[in-house]
Amino acid sequence: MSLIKFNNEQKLIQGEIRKFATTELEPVADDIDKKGVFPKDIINNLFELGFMSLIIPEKYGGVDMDLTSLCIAVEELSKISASVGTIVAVNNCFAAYPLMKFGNENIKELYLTKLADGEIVGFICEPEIDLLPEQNVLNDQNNSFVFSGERDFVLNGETASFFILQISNQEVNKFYIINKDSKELSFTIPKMLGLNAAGIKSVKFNELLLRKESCLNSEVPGGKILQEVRDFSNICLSSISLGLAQASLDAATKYSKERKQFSRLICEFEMIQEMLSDIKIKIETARLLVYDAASKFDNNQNYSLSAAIARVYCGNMAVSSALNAIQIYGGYGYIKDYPVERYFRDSKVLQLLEASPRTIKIDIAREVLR
Amino acid sequence: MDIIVCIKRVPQTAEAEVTIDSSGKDIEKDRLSFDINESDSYALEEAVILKEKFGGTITVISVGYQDTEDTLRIALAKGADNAIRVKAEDFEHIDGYKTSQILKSVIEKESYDLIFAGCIATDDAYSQVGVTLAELLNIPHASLVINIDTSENRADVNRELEEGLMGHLDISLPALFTIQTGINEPRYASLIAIRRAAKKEIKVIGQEEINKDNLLLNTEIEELFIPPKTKEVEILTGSPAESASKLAEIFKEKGLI
Repeated sequence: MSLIKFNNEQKLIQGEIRKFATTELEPVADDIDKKGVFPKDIINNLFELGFMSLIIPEKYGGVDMDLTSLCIAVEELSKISASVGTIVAVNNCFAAYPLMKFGNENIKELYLTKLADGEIVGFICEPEIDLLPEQNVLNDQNNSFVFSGERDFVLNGETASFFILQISNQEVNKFYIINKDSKELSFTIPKMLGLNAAGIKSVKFNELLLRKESCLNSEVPGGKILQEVRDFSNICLSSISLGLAQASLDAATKYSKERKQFSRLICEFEMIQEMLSDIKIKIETARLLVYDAASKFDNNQNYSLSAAIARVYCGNMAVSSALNAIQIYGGYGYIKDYPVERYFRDSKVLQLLEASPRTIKIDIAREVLR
Repeated sequence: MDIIVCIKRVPQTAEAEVTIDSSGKDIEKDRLSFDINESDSYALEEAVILKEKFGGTITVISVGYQDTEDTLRIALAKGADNAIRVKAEDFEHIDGYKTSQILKSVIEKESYDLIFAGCIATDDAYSQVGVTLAELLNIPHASLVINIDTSENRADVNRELEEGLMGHLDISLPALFTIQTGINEPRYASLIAIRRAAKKEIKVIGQEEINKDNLLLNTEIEELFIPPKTKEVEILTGSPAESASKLAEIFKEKGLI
């Protein structure tokens, strides 16, 4: 019996989102990446079906499903488009989760309901940035703050109607909710290697007033909020990498059964077989790690370490799988007419998104040495 | 308006590599994914559209193994009210005719105004269950239906014929229609609907309720095989000009130009 046991509901979700991904998303997946277009129609459909608010409690208009279900959905979407998988993951992990976990009732009523109604939320987080005096001004004005500066890699930045922003320096470390229509905000599009359709943006703040009322939770230190969001999101981001690796394996397997060299199909060469089995072994290992971590979260067990291990392993595994897939394609793997170069570009970003493997390994080592 | 929709769970073979199993009478299915038969999903959607317009209930019925319950649950999530699985494992070999007899014995105990089935199953492509079932139930039917306009006791339907022709029929209800793909746009099940459907009970019927001694089989698969190669493909090599020249020679040889 497999260690991964999806219940009835989860099996149905897997079948339905797989059908959606192959029918609706696959025909546009390559195009949205090449053009760097945020897939509004696809995301609107996913909102209507409930995937964008999957973990939000029903009382705020969400579906109130577990993390395993979210990972199943994100894995299936990411097999076709990691950009779309990332948009769904960000709305649930970086937007809904901190609001659910740390927001007071007023914040939940206001923002979770908006989120379930179809508004996209951006997430801005670079806690380790140096706050230079000329770039970042942080002044206390009756418990409110004025903030100027820049942040790169704003997740879901393109279409978000509001953002969750961490402000941190030596005196302050808090999360705030800000509206996109604030005139103190201006956006630019970073030229990225991958996740080109995920709507990731850079933002400039020009004396943005952060009011006390928009603080996510003034009682809990920002560092703790960040750690909890990171633990939770580590699992979901792992499932994006897992989906990407599966896409690499599927593409490489198919190609190896079609491509002939020296009058033989290349899948008959043992060095090709070795690369295919290497990818397969890693994917099966990764899948166990992802769903074990998700299951621990869903069953209220301590999951931080499992989440960190899954994230590091899956992030690295997706990159190596994509590289092997490119190798199997040979020169064709390097051109944009074939999908595996996209899988490589996307998997590399996913390996680093929000926290690099080295940062997460420090968390793992801390746990080992405890 | 009470509607019964007959659905079938079939392997998805459009993109897959299909191989014949050791019996020589079936395909290897262990690596294939399964889903509702394509035209059955249009039949279900058409039923949901009519239910949204006129009210009533939808009952989905399938003759299949345990896994078929997943397909029935998705149908429940998309708008069906009741689901019945007839245990295929109780009836050994099943062909289109036997399936129709099994369905007849279940459906004749239900009340209905309309019965929908897909026009063809993508696995065996018999296209016979719907129309045979209508004959066994002694109700009128129309196949390859591409449009339905119903009133209380009658339905105007268009049938899609060859060469772009359409046939228009006025049929009294109750009736059975086999539904052609493209009649509508099947919806996806929302997560909320999946949650509700996952908890719904599926009625399971077997040989205790259906006397299998009375069921007849009128076809048996002798063999499945890959057709032998009849023509060789020739790939022309060389520059575009050289290839074009060779192609022109071949056309001339064959008397095509």
